[in-house]
Amino acid sequence: MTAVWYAARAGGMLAYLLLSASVCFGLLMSGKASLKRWPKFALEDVHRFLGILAGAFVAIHGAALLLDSFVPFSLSQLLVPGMSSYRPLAVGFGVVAAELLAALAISNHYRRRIPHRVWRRLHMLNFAVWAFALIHGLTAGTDATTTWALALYVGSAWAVLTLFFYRVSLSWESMQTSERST
Amino acid sequence: MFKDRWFPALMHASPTPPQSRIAEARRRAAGVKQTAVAAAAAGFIALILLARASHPGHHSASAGSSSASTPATSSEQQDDNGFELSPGTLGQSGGSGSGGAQTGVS
Repeated sequence: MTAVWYAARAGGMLAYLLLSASVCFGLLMSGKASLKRWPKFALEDVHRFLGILAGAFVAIHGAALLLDSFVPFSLSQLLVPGMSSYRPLAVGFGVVAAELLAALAISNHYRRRIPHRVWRRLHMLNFAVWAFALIHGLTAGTDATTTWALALYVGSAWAVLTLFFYRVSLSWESMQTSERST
Repeated sequence: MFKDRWFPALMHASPTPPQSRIAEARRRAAGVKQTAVAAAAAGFIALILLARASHPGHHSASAGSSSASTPATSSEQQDDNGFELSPGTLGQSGGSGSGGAQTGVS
């Protein structure tokens, strides 16, 4: 049954990496990066697809944990944050991230029925999902101290944070420009 | 259905080159999505192998064990190093002076 345990760990790690890639595509889009061969709709298409793929691997992660007997989890422990007997806070971050991701996927599905401003604010919560997933991986993951896992976490965090600060600087610049013009 | 929904450009690709930049971008996005699925599948297998290799109880075939033992059993076997360590044989010295560790300073 250890194969299920390996699948649970690999699924969780891959879900985090796909989520990071999706966040990077989202930041590129919102930052209005001028990619000649990549119009916004194409970036948005890939961004959405990566998010769905991340969700699929979150489901694999959860299902494998439910089936696994190495560190047994019940359904309530996987659905209610803090119920886990194994590192409750660290696992709780993962539970909250997964549930928030599911809620945001539903809000994306009904995007046209929600006012754009509300949807946009809700969509910002994806940063929280990503941050919670990172904390969960670093604190609950049994591989977190290995060189390869640390390299993946540091590399993905570096990519997301670099694009995030690039995006914030663009917003700051446009705010300054509009203030000067008024 | 799934292919038509997520890879439309691949489904309706014509043998002639696409006319517009939009069609070209669609085709490129579909290509990236297909690559992402393939990379995710390959990455999943690679991460399973990495997780297996870094598993504390994992021992490779070179360890010489032919039986599929549990991680705890295999580590016990390695830690024992051939000695019989039964519970109760290790303990504090009875004070006879022949065995206990000396911590005093002279």
